Amino acid sequence: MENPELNNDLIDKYLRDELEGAELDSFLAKMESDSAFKKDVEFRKILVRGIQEHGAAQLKNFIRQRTTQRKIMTISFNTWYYAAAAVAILLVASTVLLWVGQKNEMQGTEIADVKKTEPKEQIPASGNEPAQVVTGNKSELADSTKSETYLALEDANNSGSGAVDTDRDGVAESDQTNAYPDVVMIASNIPVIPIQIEPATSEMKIESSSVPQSRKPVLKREKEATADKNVLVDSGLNWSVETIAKADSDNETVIPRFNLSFGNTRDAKPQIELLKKSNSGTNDLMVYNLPYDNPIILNYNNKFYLKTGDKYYEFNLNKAKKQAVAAVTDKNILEALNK
Amino acid sequence: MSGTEPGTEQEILGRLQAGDQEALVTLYHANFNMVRNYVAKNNGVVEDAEDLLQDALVVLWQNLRKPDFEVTSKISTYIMAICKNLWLKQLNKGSKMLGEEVILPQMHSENPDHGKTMDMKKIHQALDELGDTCKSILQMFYFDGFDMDTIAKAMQFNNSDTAKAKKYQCFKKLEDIVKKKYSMSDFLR
Repeated sequence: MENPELNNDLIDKYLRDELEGAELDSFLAKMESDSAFKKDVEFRKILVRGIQEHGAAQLKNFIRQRTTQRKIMTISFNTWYYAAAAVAILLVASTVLLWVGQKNEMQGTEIADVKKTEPKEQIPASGNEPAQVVTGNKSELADSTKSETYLALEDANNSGSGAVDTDRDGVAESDQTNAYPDVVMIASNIPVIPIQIEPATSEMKIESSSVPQSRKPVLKREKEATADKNVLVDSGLNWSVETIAKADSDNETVIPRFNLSFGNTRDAKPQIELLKKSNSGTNDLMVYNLPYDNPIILNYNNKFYLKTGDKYYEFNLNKAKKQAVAAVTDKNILEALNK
Repeated sequence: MSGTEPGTEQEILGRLQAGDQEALVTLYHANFNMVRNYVAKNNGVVEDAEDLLQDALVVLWQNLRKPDFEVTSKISTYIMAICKNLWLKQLNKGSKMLGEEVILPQMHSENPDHGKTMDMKKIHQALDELGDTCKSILQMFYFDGFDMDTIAKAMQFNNSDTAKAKKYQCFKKLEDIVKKKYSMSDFLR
């Protein structure tokens, strides 16, 4: 074992668990008897461990980056998907409503006229049976299902002719009573369903959908009574957000992730505190006196911005203490961040 | 999707053993929901699950090329077992792993780390001083566990002897850098 290269091979085999039997016994015996050799093995073990940790960190970083990349792509796709779906629903809904609205407007004029001249209550007084008045498609309607609008329209038709003419032939009757019968049906029978359309979704909004509801921040009271205005009185649960690199950012740098906690102090001054910083891992931020409103972190021109609601707050990732923050007002920065 | 399709298990194992790191990404996506559910039920959050699965895949990557490694179950079962072990260790430690800290398979030693934490940053710095070729060779051998033939092919050396000689030189160089700058006690705190 005097040849250093042979020694290296042997130590490598030992460290890789490849020594066994007599070879392993011999190796262990030498470690026992030769302190210099033992020291050499120990030192080599430290170096190998260093190499392994370095390799593990690089591989982990590779997996993280590759899976984050796909996540962002998925988020981006989902954003467009939901946005497109929302636009489609809006278009369909607005088209139907517009159409119905136009028709209602047209018939509404007539209805209004009728109501002025011949209110609905007067129908029974007229002594005319609806069955006698209505012919064609209208006659298919049972009296009980007739809507107020429909009856009003009947009145309109009747009043338009001056009086109820039971002697008229079917064709003439049909022409008269055909004044928007279908529209009347639609307008009277479609229930009003409130349509809630999600606002344009941001990256964070989609991201948050993958997080269980139970993780959504719930305010919890920390200290009930304190004279110190700057002490946290209540705080939200942790909320993790991805950092989104905006255009012009230095994309080669590792973009960290953040855990956000929201809390309030009595002095109500907006502040951000970096609780824990990690160059490649996750940073913990405590956000004071700002509303929790779909927060995201943006990385633009190597600066970090917290967006909550529609306001952006720049913060320094190298400042350990609480830093007072104010909403960004610079138009150029806002424009870039809003892109 | 939870776990990998049976038909693709062998294919993925083959890709991993051939050194295809992209196969880890496939495994990550195939197993993430399962790991997330486990972590969620055991005091963890989504980010813990991400971290945990990344660590587990690193361990799988290293174990794959160990002489005694054999898959007796589905890969997803194996990954889940690693995840559970790592997670229990974390819970037992009382604190969660941070950043790049990874639990590596234990190296052969009766007295690992002498009960202290070694300062590996110094070695990482020394590795960075080595240059890319040397760093890659050492990582392929000591971390990835590749044999000399694979390293020779990957590094486009003539043969495995060249790779072996180069590895020896690189390790010596690393040793020299570290010895020049630090003493043994620097690695024990």
